[in-house]
Amino acid sequence: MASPLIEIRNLSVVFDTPAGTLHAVNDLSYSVMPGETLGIVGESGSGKSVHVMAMLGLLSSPAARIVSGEVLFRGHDLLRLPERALRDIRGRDIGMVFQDPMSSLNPVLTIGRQIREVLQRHTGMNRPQASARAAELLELVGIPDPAGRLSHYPHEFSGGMRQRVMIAIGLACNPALLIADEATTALDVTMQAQVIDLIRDIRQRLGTTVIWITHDMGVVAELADTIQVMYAGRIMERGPISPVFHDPRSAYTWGLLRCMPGGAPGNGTQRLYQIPGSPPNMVHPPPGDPFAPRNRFATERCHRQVPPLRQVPGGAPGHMVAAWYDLPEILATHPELH
Amino acid sequence: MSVPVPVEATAPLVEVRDLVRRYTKGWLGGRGVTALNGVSLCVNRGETMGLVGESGSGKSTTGRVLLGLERADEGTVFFDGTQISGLSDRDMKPWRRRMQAIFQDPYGALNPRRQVGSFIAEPLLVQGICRNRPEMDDRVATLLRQVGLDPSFMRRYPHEFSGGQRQRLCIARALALGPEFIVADEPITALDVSIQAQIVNLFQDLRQKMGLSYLFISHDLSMIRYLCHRVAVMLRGRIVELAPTEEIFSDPRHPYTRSLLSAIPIPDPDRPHVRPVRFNADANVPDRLAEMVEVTAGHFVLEH
Repeated sequence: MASPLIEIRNLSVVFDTPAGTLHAVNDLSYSVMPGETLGIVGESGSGKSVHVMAMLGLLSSPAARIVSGEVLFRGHDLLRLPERALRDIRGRDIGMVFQDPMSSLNPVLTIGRQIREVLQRHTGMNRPQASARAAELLELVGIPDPAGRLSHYPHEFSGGMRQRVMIAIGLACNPALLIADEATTALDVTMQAQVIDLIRDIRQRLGTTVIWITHDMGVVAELADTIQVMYAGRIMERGPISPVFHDPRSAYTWGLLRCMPGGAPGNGTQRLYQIPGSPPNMVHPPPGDPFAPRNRFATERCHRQVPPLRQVPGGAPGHMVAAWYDLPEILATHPELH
Repeated sequence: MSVPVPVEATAPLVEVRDLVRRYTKGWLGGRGVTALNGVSLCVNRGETMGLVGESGSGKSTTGRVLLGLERADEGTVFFDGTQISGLSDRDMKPWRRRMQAIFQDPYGALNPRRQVGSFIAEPLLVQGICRNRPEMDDRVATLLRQVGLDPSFMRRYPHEFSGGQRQRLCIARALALGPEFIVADEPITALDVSIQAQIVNLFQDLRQKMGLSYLFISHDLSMIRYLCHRVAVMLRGRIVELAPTEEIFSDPRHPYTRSLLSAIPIPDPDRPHVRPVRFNADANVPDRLAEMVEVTAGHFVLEH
């Protein structure tokens, strides 16, 4: 069995806020195999973005504190590397694409210069080499007239094109791992579809490992091999994409899948399934299963004790769930929910 | 499949004809933009009309012009059979009670220093509807109940509410004057997935209970399909296709509509990946003079 490209062990992150200590990431452990695309799904406050920022050393201290954990990438613990060594890895071995391309790009530098900077910093290319590679990258992400576009400034690109530039920068040094956080959320659906298509192509051609963070189950279904559903800084469910979609074992995953319109006509009369309530305040997290207060199927134990993430008995290999209840058993007694 | 016919299809509640809206260049120079280039559509009583299109296609501008928040350079707006475009602010005031707006960002709409009760009551004050404090509190309590919030919340401040609750507060305020028509501009876009269904259901309930009509502006095509009776697709300031919702999804005629539909991410991991249909909007800006052709009953497509 191959070893994982990246492995997160027992990561916990807290924020010190005026209201108290906010528990953003709680004892999070998972790994990603080389060539795998992991789709992480969660809503605001799920810890999906914070844990990635923590992994990459991008959280601003002192407000945020990594309380415990290890992030093993190619034998190094990223959390214990000196800043300089971490900077070498970020951008070179791990590419990153965030949601808002306008705040990630420098408005007064040309696109060409910003891509070259990454290349020259990490690969030791000289300027002409870096320019040639930059044009190649813009072509790879489907920007017309790539060589000509290098001398343009960010404002001369549309939102979708800027996001492509960000992806080009993320991919500049052929990273082994690409981490994208809501990278298509601000884009129009047509542009989003093109970016998804592009990621599929690149992955196939270069074997890039991808962590794709999103709130959109549709996007995950289009891209991911493995899905990981997060809530309140924990993994609620995780596994190969198809079993998780067709046979969800966490009431939260089940609810997320049910509350989408799912491409069926509603005729303006039907109601969507709705998950009651809202995500917990993580300054005062619930003592047990964090989803229990919103879970109509919660048992007494759910309210009391945090369930561990375990292999689903008889489920697909790698299909894991953190739940005290047996969802299929419960659903079998609720025919009205089918 | 039969298309649900909205209550009484006599005269549309809202109708716009041939709207044109140009933004001239500012003091920094730059090009002027034609946001609306001949937009015509109507919304019937009890109907939810969806408006989709890429950012910058003129969806929001259409909504704003329709509500009289912005003036059209050309074209007319009718409400309940009366022309309201060109009215002075004073003459417009009685009409404003009958139409309201709900926007994407419930955070920006609320004043952090004021109790939410006074935010909801503001339209009642402006229109001089409530005479005294107890009457006002009564009205606000009713409104809060209508949107599924506890009446005691009226004394709280915005920061005590979650995103979904804040959008409910905005809806309560929009309902304060008993409107007949609401423009909802991306009302669920900023909300978490698990909260979106709650708000969409609330829209449905209110439409059924109060006979509201909506113009629902969104880029989420699955939600549009779920919620709307008819859909208009906008491209660069023009409507290129307008039809009963299922017609649009089962038989899209305009190449832009086809491209848009092919781009919807489908939450089914076993479906083979389909490459999106490309459409070059820059090379296919709809002509101002192109006409809408009725291909089947109620299904209109712009000549292309």
